[in-house]
Amino acid sequence: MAGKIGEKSLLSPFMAFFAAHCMQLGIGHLTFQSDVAKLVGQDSWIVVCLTGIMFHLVIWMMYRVLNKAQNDIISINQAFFGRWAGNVLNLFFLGYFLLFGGTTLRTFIYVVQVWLFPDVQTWILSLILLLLACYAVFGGLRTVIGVCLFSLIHYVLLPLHLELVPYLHFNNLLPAMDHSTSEMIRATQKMTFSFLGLEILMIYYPWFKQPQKSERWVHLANAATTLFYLIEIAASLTFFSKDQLVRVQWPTLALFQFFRLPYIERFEFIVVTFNLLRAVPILCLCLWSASRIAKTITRIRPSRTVPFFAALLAIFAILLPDYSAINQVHQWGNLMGNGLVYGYIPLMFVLSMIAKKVKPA
Amino acid sequence: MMKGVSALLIVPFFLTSAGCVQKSVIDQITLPIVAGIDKGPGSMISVTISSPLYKGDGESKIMNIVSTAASRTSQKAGGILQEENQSPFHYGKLSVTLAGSELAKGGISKALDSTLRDPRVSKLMYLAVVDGRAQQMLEADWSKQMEKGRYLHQLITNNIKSGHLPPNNLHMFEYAWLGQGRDPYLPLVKLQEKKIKITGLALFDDDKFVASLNDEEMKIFRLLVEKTKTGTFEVGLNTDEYVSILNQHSQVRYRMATRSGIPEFTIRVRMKGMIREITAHKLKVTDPYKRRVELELGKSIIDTGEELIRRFQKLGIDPLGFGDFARSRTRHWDEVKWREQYPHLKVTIDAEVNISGTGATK
Amino acid sequence: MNNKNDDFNEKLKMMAGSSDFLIFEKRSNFSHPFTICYFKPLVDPTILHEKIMPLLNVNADQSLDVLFAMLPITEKKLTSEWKSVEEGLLKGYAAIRFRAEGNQTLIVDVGKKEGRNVQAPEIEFSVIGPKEAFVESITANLNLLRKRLPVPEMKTKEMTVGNLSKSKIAVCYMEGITNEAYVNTVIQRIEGIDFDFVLDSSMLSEMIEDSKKSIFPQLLDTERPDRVAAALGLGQFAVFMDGSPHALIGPVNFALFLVAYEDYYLPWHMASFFRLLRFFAVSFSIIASSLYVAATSYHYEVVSTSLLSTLISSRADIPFPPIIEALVMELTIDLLREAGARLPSKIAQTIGTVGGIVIGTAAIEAALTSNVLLVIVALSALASFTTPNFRMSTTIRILRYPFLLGAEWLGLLGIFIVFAFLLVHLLRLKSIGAPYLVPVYPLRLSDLNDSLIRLPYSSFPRRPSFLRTRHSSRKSVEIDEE
Repeated sequence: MAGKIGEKSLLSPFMAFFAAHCMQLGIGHLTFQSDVAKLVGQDSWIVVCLTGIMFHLVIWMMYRVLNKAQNDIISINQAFFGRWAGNVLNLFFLGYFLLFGGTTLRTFIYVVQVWLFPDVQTWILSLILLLLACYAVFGGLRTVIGVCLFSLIHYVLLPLHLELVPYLHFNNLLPAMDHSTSEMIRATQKMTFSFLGLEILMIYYPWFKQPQKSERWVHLANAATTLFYLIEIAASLTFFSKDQLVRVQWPTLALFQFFRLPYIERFEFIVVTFNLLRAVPILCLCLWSASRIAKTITRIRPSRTVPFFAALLAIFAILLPDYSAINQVHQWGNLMGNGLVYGYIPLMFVLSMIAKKVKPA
Repeated sequence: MMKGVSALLIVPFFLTSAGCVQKSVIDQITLPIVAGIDKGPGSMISVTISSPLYKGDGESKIMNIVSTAASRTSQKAGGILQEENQSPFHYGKLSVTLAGSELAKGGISKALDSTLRDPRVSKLMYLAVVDGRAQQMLEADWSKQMEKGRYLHQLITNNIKSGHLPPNNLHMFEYAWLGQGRDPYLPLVKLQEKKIKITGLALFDDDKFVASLNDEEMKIFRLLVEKTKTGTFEVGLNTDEYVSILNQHSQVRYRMATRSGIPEFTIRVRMKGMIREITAHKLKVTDPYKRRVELELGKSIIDTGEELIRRFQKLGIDPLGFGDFARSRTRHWDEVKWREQYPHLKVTIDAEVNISGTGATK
Repeated sequence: MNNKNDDFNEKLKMMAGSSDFLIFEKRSNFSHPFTICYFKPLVDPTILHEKIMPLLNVNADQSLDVLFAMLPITEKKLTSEWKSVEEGLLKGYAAIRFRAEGNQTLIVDVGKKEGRNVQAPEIEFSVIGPKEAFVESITANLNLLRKRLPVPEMKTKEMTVGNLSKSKIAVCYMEGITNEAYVNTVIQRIEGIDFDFVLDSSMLSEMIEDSKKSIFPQLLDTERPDRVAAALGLGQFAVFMDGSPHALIGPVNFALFLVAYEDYYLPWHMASFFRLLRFFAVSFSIIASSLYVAATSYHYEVVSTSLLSTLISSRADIPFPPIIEALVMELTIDLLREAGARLPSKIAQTIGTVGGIVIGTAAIEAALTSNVLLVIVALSALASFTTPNFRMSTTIRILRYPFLLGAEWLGLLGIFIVFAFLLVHLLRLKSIGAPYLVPVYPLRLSDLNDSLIRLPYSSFPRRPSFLRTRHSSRKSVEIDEE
């Protein structure tokens, strides 16, 4: 393990809630309704619940592994698979988080380009957002999680959904369970994309005081995400007819068109900008964990790696020209995430059950 | 220190590169509030735009500019319009779109595609079908006090809020148009001697305008569509004795029962009303009299309603969304099969009116 | 011995190079000649002639020790070190030497106490509550404080900073309550100052703050003794400086800068209302004009049609883009404010009102600015004045310029980007090691009762947890520690 973490920089366990919750509410949140409704229509809300429950299970397994080792996944990998193979796995994690950050960055910029400024250059927005992220990451983990906390500001717009009630067709939720199991499983796979991000806790684990206590906060974060998605999916399903929902590219944003205050309308433009605050913490968390992995493997100082990774993300974002390319990357991300959550974590769980005691690498 | 200097250098850098984002300074753009689409020559569509031109303070100095262009796509037509306008068009404030009846009969969705695609156009925009040509309506001089688009917008809003027009907007049109087992409807407006009037409801089959309802039918139609709190209904008791009833609260509920394969529908309408006017001489409203009015009104709701539904069945259109309702109550609902069944559905209306008050007079 | 004596005399002679230094030797009539010297402008002749000279004239044959005991003045010292003699002389002491006793010198305070009397607070005025404010004299200030905290736990630690100004500084804290870590940090930082002039607590504050680059004040300056007393009671420390009528309080957080001390004298409902009002005023004042710029240059869709037509009509004849319009108006307001601050107060008022009205009306009539913007700018200027702390209110006035530039650059998105940078900056900021955004982040629910709102006193059983006090209960009866 690369250096013991100083007592002073340890965080209280409840901050795990913000890290996990913000990481989950990423790009998936903007589009998941149409993706899932395409497959299972009115049963989408069941899929949301199912995926939420799956993730509670994943968290439970994750924490069994982590609690036993009392360390982060980087060291666990090294301990289980040896220094060499373990580091290859760690590099995979590094790549995964960079991909996560990169797609998030590009997608949010794309949303801005569609809704607000069609002619804004990708590089200029990526540059400024990454500068911001670096500034926060250099402030330390405490600052990063602070950004997460403040990004929850977007919840102030949630009560606006009440305005939708006259438009809602609750009949759209019926008949329930009208789809086959295989359809549901495929939809759950799709839905997984919107729940991804919790894995980051495997890196952050040793940074909490009494880390095993952070488990319930992560569960709570996942429950909050599930609840939020449920509200969103219920609103979208009852607000749009199925074929309409499938055609809408960003249902979450589209919903916000229907609110009006006496002098302000078209809330979706405000929501697009609020989304920026949602992208920044994800960028920070990803950059931070990437640099942490790099530090553990190679002992290069984060002050060097963070700008380097930020530059990588910027190049990645600039190289994705249009929505089909972005969508392609989403699919890779989804594949990697599915493998991670449903393959890797259960595997580690079983391994750690078998292993008597994890030897420090 | 160097860091601080370089940070300061970033600011002008961004401000100069700001040029790459197009601005839309509000007094340097033209904001069309109402647009009209018509059938143009051949397969073209003709687009008419009316936008306000503000000159200094006050609404009285507002001028309407109306211009028309024809092209195969509405976007192209917009480009042609741009060529004759001094400032760029921005469609973010478009609040009403009028479709000429000729175009509407041929299908409205192609002409609407660009509006639905553009995230700047609000889905709360009103759509309406013009009895005649939209261009003619926009060029006519019927709004001296107010900008035309806002006038039309308020006209439709107020008719939904306190009149008989069932609620509708671009989103609801799209909902019904794309939704299974449901067909859209839009308000029908007509230019009558320098006045605009909402004459009824235009009914669509898919996206084609196929039939219309008149004012009276629209009143009953609205009762069948949703819960209402507005509207005045008139009941004729004798040739010269009419009673006018204010709707205070009405509720509607659909029920479906499937017997012998074909679904049967019951629509239950409950209305609470108040007598507003009686054209009879020195009449005292007694309980039996109230009862009679209630029954008469109930009967007229049932008669008109069932007649309307029969007409819908004959046309094969479903503006009330029976199909959607059946879908939500049937496992593995099959739209093709439903279309075959639809003309043979049995629909009964059960309407009950309850008169709770008689106003300030007994 | 003799050598040294000469040395002492030499040094005195050197001082006499300054023409306001007096060396008065009395030798002719007496068998015991003595010397008395002092800086003329610093001493109070009344004390010198009424209390010291008569005594000296009579008792010149006694030793200095005896004289020392007889002098009816508390501030006096018997020393043979040149350094303390010099220090004393420079502070308005008189030095008395008997030739017979060599270097032994009696220094006695006969300083003239020039300075204001205690007056009502001007910057942090309150309608309700005590109306005493600090003055320039540190003794008077400590006196005001001690009167409010008559307990032995209140300790002060005195220091001197400034190579030339030699300013006296006192750090006050409550033993057993204040966390020593904070006190030690601040003492360390003050001792680390190496500068010639430290004249006011604001200068001192800049020198000991955590981040010198930040435009946010990280120590709270106040002129109210009651506020300092309460802060000490809560577990903060206070720094006094001779010559400055403001004490510094630390560690602080952002919310404390929006607290007017009167909030504690008003009923809690009203106090909470005013605090929220101030918070909204601050937010409004920062972003109002930039929102105008964003809405008029980019986001016409967000404004409702009816308001939009008002906006367009008001802007119809204006030749400038909104950003220039807004920048000019904001600068004008700052100009008026600066002019008001530089001019004598009576004229300043005239400038403020007449200048404001005349310039405003004329600007609209000349179609240089829209009346909507004028209203927005005036309101936001008004709102920025609600900030109780002067340094914070200047910070807030400066902050609106980056927001304006952000709005010009990318509209609402630009505003949000600037906001995000500001947020990260605030998250990174610390006041003497304590996070600046506490109690919101790190979240401390128990401290929220006295942040943007003030709940009744019964809900304050403990001292704020962000101060990590040694003793958190505010009551005499112990409450259970969590």
